[in-house]
Amino acid sequence: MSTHHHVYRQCALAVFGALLIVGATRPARAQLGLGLAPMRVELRMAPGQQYSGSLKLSSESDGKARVRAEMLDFNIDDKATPQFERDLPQEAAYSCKKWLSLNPMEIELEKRGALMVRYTLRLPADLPEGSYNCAAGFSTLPAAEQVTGMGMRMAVRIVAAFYVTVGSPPIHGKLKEIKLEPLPAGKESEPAGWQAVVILENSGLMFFRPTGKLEVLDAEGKAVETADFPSLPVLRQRDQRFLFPLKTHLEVGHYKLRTRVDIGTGEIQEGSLDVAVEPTPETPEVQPAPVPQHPQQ
Amino acid sequence: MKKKLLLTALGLVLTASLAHAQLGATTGTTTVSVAVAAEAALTAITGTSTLTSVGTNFSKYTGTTSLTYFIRTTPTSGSGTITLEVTTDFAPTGGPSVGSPPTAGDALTYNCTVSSPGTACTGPLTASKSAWTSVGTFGADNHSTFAGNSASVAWSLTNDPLYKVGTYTATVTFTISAS
Repeated sequence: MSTHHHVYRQCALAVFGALLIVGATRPARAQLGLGLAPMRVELRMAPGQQYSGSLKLSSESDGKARVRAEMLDFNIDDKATPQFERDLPQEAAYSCKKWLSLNPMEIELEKRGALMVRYTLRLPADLPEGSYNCAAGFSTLPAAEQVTGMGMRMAVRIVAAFYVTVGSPPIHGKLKEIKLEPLPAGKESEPAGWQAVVILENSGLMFFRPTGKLEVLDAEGKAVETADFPSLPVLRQRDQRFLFPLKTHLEVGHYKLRTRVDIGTGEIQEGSLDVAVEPTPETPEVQPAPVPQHPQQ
Repeated sequence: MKKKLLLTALGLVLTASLAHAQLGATTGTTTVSVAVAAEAALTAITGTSTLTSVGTNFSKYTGTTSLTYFIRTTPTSGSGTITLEVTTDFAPTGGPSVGSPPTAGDALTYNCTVSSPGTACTGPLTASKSAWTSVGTFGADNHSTFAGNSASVAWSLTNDPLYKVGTYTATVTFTISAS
């Protein structure tokens, strides 16, 4: 009996020792995270005016988190994905980044801690009328853990967008084009699908957020699919693509893509595109029919 | 004894009277207001993700990164996006590379899963070193649960025989934003 006890104790010590070694050599897989409020700041300001406010930055990390603040340019790319970057030269004329300051810039947050970050916008006295946009980004440093073999370290960034309107610039824009495009190739065996693309033109000095719908109508004019416009801004003086990946598998036949959109003026603009799905010897293929599109205002 | 009782009774009457006076002073109304802002948070559940190759020879390296998101967007014009970028390419050199792959066509691709109310990206997408690519989007008046909602990215990396034997690590940054 006593011999058994001795063996058990030795086994238990060995297991405990092994666990200690494993624990010491394999660092904890720490969680990284950040929170922010508000996420969007919209201000109406006069040239030469200064405005200060604060953002609440919080940590969702397991341990102490070191965070770096940055002033950023931003735009929405042709895939309708926001690009927040330190420097986007093409945005220089419309960016408020150079008038934005943040304090503090280097931050250490306790586990689940929070901090108020003060922002100040100082507009130049000779700033012309228009809307300007920029962003405040907060990034964690990448995890310090070692990756065994092939792998990736994660970092998290959270971004608040700023929109500053100077004066009362009117909205100028129009529905420019409707297209049908193939989606990128799908997962291994899945065939690629299609997406409707609506292009809106902003020719004015003021950004706008369109509201409206895109519909896929069959030959009888019945809606087989409807999608709302995503709530994305069309920044000033550019064309913006809005993407609508189609969920419906289009059988052979004739269809119409129809959109109705309000760019913020209260006027509904409408356009349509006729599409023919033609059979091929192998697999049916979707081809936009050579029918002119009809954007109407 | 009688005197003591009388004093006690008098004390009680006074106390009751004072209490009544205090109650009278606290009646009234006040307005409490709270400003509820659009708010978001994003968590990478693990700080690292390991990519492994299993199965046939030179089958792709695969792995998963799990995320939790918290979101409250504004009712009419709210929107949000989760994106990712390879902010530091695989190092050391000699292995895979997102910016300068040893063979044209080598790529780090991914598919997304985002629980409602988010909408997952239409994948597979190719991760980039120079552009942020979509993981998921949120619309107006979207609300996550108090405990957060789940999302994940399933990675696939070409297993090119040209890679030198070694350990290679890249940094991927996930961004959550409103626009």
